[in-house]
Amino acid sequence: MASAGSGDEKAAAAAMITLISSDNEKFEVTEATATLSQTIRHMIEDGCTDGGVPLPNVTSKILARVIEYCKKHATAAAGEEGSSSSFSDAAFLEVDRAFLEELEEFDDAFLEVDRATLFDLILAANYLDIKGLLNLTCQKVADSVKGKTPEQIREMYNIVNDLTPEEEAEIRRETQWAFE
Amino acid sequence: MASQQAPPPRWRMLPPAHREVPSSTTTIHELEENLILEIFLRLSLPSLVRAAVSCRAFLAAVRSSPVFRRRFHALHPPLSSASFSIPRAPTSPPLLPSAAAPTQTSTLPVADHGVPPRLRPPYQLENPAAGRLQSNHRGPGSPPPAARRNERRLPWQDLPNKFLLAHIGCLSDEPPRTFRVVCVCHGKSMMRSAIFSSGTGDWQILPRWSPNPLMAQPSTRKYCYCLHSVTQVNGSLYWSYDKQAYQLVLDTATLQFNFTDLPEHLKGQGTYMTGETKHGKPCIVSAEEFTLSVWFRRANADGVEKWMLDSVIPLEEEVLQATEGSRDDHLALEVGEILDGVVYLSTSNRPGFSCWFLSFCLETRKLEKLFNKTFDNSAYPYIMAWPPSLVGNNVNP
Repeated sequence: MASAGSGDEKAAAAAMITLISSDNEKFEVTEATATLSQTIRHMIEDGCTDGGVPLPNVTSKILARVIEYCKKHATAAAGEEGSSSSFSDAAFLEVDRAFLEELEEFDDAFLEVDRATLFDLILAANYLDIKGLLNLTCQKVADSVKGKTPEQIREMYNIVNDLTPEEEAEIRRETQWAFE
Repeated sequence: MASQQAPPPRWRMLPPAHREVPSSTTTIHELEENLILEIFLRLSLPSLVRAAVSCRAFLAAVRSSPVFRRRFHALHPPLSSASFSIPRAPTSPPLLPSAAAPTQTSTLPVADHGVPPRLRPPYQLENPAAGRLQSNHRGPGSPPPAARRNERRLPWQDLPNKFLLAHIGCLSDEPPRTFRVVCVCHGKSMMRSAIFSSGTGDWQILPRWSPNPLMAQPSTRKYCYCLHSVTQVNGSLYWSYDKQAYQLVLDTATLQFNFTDLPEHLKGQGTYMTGETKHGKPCIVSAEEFTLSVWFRRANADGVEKWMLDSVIPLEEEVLQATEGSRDDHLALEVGEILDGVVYLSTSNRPGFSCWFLSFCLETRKLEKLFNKTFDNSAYPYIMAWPPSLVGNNVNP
């Protein structure tokens, strides 16, 4: 028993990956969590993760958030794999549904960040190639733009209008239906 | 025992370096073009247009990428890129000689690259008795050939009054831009039909026929053969009548006409729409107050294909929630059109009344609010064009 336990521990330890942020902070994560990032997955496949994975484009603050996201969603992915095969009775579906709801709540809470952090998360999700996170964060920005006028969008995101009035007027004339 | 110890955490932060992390000041300008487009992909077309004109960089990003346009179209089924065209003149028959004034159609969004929007070619029979096919095409893009020629005489020289109940359906709207327009003239005991082809620029007259035993039903209504709508589903055109217990169907491959029985509940009603599901199967949707009833065409126990009631969906609560209104704000739900399994609805059909336009997906049962507008006779959705001002890479640096 004891030896089997230590064997498990050994396996778990072997599957840990160290990620190093731009400000040189180290994060130890399971391989399952880390490989939600396609970028890191490829590095693991190429066997170049010994001594840690340097991520010079991601600060510790953002990396901690990204890991928080990956950890939650890696658990979800593992849960899905376990449930899809032989258990499909109502009780199991109920658990699944509850878990999905929980995941949705997690995502909503996860997105409660300021704009700068949101853009940092987009940049990190893009760099680390984490599809789910990129989708989530881009959707958040898209939702904030929906239904807004160009003026409102400019104000919200500190955008300087560098189109000439004539250019803008012409496009607006042609796409009048988008402004009604 | 080792197995009873707490499992190691799945991840842990190693002791942090003790220093202040400066708070981030990242702005939208630090996102590269591909990320801006990734965000824009998730907008509706009108929102995309507004975002694109907020600055030169955004406009250039949207203009520069044909790949983006393709992805946007693929991601946005008609539901999200659809808008409504609201003609000022009634599109439904009867088009009596007295109502033969030239029709004025104002379309809000322009038609898609000059290709007639599906089943809603901008044509009407201006004056069936005179047999003129009138084009109402407006807007940029190259209009179809027939539109340029403006009108095409129907082949019948002597269309008596009883044949005035005509209706038009369009057989093809796919590129290459040839299309056919079917005109059905319906009398009490006989039908005439002809097909206009943009390829030949001429009419082909189909044989007259009067085969329908259903048509022998006694009817006291003068215009009992009013065809009020036509829908193309899976290679067939379905015409609906105002007051009959059946539909007229044209197989577009064989050009054979047929009649098909309606669900019992809808016989003689004319308050339904035929359309197609996401998988191209015919369906009928009718609305009563705020409840939708949906029929699919399926084989019954005897193997006979019939309209079978699939579901009854109460929507009052959802409509009120979506429009943030009260029951008094709306008359009732009206089914406008069904495209790719999306039912387009309005909350009124009375001209001059304020009206919400909504869409309802038959598959996901999701109701979406589109917009609010004063109802203007009739409205129908079609797939929006990609605005020409969002094409090309000619933004000055």
